[in-house]
Amino acid sequence: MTCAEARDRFSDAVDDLMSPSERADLEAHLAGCSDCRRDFDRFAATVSLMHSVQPVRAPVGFVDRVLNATIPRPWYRRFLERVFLPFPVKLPVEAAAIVLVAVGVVYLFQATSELQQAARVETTPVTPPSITTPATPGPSTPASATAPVPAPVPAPSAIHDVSPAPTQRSATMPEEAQPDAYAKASNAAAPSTKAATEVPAPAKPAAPAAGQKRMSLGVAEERAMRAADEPKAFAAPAPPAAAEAPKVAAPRSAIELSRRDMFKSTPSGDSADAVRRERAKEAPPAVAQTERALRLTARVADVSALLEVTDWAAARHMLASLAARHGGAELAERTEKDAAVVELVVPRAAYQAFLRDVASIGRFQVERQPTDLPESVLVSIRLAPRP
Amino acid sequence: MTAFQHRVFGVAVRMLGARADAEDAAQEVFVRVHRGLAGFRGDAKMSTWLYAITSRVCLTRLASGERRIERDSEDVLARMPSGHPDPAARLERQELEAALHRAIDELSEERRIVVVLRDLEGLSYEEIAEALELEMGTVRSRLHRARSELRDKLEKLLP
Repeated sequence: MTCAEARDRFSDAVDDLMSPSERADLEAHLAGCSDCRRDFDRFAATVSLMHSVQPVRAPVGFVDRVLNATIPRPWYRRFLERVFLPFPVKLPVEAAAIVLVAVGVVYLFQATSELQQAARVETTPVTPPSITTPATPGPSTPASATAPVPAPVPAPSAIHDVSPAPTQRSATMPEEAQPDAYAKASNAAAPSTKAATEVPAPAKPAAPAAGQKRMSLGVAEERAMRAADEPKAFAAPAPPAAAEAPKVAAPRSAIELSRRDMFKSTPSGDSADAVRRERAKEAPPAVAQTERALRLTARVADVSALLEVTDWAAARHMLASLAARHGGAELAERTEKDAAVVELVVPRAAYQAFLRDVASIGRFQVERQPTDLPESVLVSIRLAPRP
Repeated sequence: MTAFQHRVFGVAVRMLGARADAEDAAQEVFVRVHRGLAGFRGDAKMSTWLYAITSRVCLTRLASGERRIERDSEDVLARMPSGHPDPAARLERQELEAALHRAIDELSEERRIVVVLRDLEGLSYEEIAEALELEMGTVRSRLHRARSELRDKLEKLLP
């Protein structure tokens, strides 16, 4: 047996896996080779050392921990542990993520004008449909005046340019129709017997015919016919159909102000209309008569004013309340791109008090006001956001 | 589990070095045993089956690097009661065992598991071959080389 062969059998010799003859050969070689003998002794000592090492014992409570680990935990505990553990690491990261998302949302909201517009619309009460021209409740309203509003709404100033001042009217009216029509329109309380006798009573069946007829007329003739209608409304007791028209109360929208709605007997049953009906009932007969006359007139506003407020909806409501308090009424509302226009009628006697009350709502400025106010002052107030 | 906890933990701590790692590994072993107990065929000894799972878990952790960097000092392992009444002899013995654990820790993983199972846990060659799914010759050669390497490393400390 060589030294290499002998060294290869050390492990078998230590573990006593050799046959007696193999063991005898190894012993014979070790007896004659001191190097192999020394190596074998150290080899056996190493193995003996390992065999004598004390076994390691599991820590106290190990079994309990293992048993706890084998018991399935509820899903919510596992979820919470996965989300929040370890606290020192995950909580700051999650807090930072929440702050980051919040900042991102605010930035996105501020950077996107559509979102701001949507949020504003959601917080604002529903606005009535807009109209492009002042309310024209009379049956003589041309179809173009009551048609749905196209996108580019004419500016109020364009309407007010046709001011009641005679000098301005002369530029927009044919000469032959202007004096008579304007005199009749401005003096609504004085009945024009000529017009009243020429035009039949505005009974319901007659209205479409009159409207069709006026569709083909020019502006001057149309105004003349409107003026003819006004005294009729004041002079004689209204026929049943016409008497119902004022009860429609303050117009809710352009549709309400349209010819068809004016002659419909039953208004919608929403609460706003109920309030307006009550207001119309409570109004003095003279004011109600005046209001009815104004509704039947395509009259431009006598006074134009600007009111800068922060809350449009509240301002509209307050304007309507003030008008009612001073014996007037709200006639129409319409929205434009950056403003809302509210048209109201106020008795001349209460006009100054009304202006004072309106000035308490917001920053108020009268833009145009004639020196000679009519009996019933038609006030157009443009609501603008307060800077 | 109570009967085998020390053996499983012993193999784990010899293989992984850190007691915390060993406890995690031993816990994983028993969880696997708990789940796979119904599939235990019984044609092998329960201890062999446990050692097989323990060896697999430890080798997997070592291969994946899923272990703590710091290792418990070999002195901690060697400070376990050695049974020597003489303090000087006990101190010498502790130093020797600490050197032994360092040397075992320096072995390659495939040699270390064989030495641990054979010389520290007392498994037979056949049980080792079955637990590690190795040929007998492979077990013998790995064991012989591991012992020879340990002998060379402990040469100065051995008498």
